[in-house]
Amino acid sequence: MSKYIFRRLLMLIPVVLGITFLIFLILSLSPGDPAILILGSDASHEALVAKRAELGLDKPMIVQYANYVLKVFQGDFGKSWIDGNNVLPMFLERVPYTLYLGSLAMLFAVILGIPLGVVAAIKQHHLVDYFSIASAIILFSLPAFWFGMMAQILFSLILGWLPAAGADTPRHFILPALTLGANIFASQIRMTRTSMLDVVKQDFIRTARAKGVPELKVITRHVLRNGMLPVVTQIGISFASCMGGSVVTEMVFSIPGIGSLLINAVKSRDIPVVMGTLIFVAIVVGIINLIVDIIYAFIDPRVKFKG
Amino acid sequence: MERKLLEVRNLHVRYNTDEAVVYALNGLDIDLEKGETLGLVGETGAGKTTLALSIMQLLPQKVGQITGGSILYDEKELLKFSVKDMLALRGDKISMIFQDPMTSLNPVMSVGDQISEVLEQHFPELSKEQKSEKIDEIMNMVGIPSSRKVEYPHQFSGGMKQRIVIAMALIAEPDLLIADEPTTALDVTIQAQILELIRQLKVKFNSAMILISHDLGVVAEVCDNVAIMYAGEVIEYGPIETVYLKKDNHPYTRGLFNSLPELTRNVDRLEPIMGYMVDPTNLPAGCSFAARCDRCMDICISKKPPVFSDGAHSIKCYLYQHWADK
Ligand SMILES: Nc1ncnc2c1ncn2[C@@H]1O[C@H](COP(=O)(O)OP(=O)(O)OP(=O)(O)O)[C@@H](O)[C@H]1O
Ligand SMILES: [Mg+2]
Repeated sequence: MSKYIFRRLLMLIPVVLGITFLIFLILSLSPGDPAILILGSDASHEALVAKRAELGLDKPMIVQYANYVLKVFQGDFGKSWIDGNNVLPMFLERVPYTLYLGSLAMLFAVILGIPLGVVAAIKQHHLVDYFSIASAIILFSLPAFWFGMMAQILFSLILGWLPAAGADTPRHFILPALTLGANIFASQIRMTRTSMLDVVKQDFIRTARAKGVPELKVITRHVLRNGMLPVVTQIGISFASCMGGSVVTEMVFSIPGIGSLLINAVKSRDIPVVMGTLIFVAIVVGIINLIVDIIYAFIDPRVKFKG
Repeated sequence: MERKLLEVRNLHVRYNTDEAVVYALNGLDIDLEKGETLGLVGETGAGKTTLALSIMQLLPQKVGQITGGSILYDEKELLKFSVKDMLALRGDKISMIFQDPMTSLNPVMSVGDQISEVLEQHFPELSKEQKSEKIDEIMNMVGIPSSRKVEYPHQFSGGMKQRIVIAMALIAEPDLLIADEPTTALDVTIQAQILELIRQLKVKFNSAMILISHDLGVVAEVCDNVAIMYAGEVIEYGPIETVYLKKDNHPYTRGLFNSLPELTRNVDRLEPIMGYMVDPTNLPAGCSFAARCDRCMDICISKKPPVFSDGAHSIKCYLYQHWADK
């Protein structure tokens, strides 16, 4: 299995190369001169030329790309064009916030969402079922920024239970995690419920009942394990989207994570920061997918590592 | 006469779907003695699986509903059994082999564990070693090396999966085995093997069996008695020898025989039964087969035929009205 994991990690390299190339292409084709952006529109012509040479922008795109990639493989992600800071340390400082927020949101969504989905499926067409479907639909259609602000108003301003913004203590993360997790929670309920109902209809469930297995054991032993397969995939996708998709939540709650870094960098066309962030997201998504596949193989004997 | 193992009387079952009410069983009777093998024949939609599921009390919840009649098992009314009593019965005293072995095993559980589940449920007093021993024994009996019990269903072929399903159904040595078209989904070459296996084990464990099939040939080989079903009723019942004499038969049974290719006889063409099975959501007032029957009389359209019997042979058809006077 370690051979398989190693191979999968190696496969991340072409993925990262592809993604960075694409971003490079898009950025170099989009209008606007980074030199002007950095120095201001009233900078002298000589200063602009010098800046472009310094940034390597005077070379052909493909050379720029090759230079960048070579440096990245040496661990050098370049300097921010805006404040001149090294990208990597800036980045490492912010990663924990995003990871923490994302994990907390996932934890909340999974711990509550899966059991609720299971109960909804078992009690199909009962009150619990309608309640969980309704809450799933509502949470699914609420935009995160609205949900976040409502949560701030209720729990911080009116009730005063939790801090409204910042990232100083774990308490600061409760509202953001709920906000970020609301959508995922909703999709967990729906996914679990659908998947369970799907498995219950299968022939092998009838076989289990025909053996005289009591209903509770039928659910825990036969339905759950089969029903968890698509749910695990869904968890992976959700977690991956947390890494890049917590932008809004981080903005609303002023959390200094990757999301807010990325949005600021894009606004100011700070290309080294944008690239670095996206490489990070790509790698994390790749690792999450790998973990999902490993878990999947543990649950489903039909999946085997081709090591 | 020996005590009856199973007596199904005037059983009515329907499926309440969103679109319509499907009348799947409409006054069905069957009897089964201990150790007997009954063949249940009928075209698709006749209600064969519905009968099996009714006996097992495994009709789809809410949708499937028993609306009348009785099922006596060992002289006890199954329809009055509690959930717990039914659990104790299923898999132990009555067990079932399903139509499609490809889908009737749990894909994420090893086959040994799946067989073991029966023992856990019905023989909790057995030690781990005893259970394992019993599993090895039954696996060898169905012709699967017991070393393969740690493997998963996808590692077996269709025929082997059905052998495992058979092992599961027989490990508790049931009094009644319901085999619902156990070979239909399998390759022709394997069908005979599997049938022979079921037959042998059934004799070994002295179980009674209901063999559901639409193959009259298979039934003739394996069964003592045969019940021909049409639209949720048994329209002909009797010992194999009598029914297969082809002297007195329900017109539907005759149609079934005529639509069989016979290797020994040279026929220019087969004669299929004309028309389609009646719509089970909209049953006629008279005989269900009347619309397709070439010997249909006025009375057949207006009144349902009762059972007319000649000894052990009984037919639901007015053509045999004279049997009533015997
Ligand atoms: N779950 C269900 N909901 C609605 N109708 C059903 C359901 N199961 C079976 N039926 C209907 O009940 C009738 C009897 O079905 P059943 O499965 O018992 O037939 P069968 O004799 O086993 O046929 P086959 O040879 O195809 O297996 C059919 O008309 C069928 O459409
Ligand atoms: Mg059937």
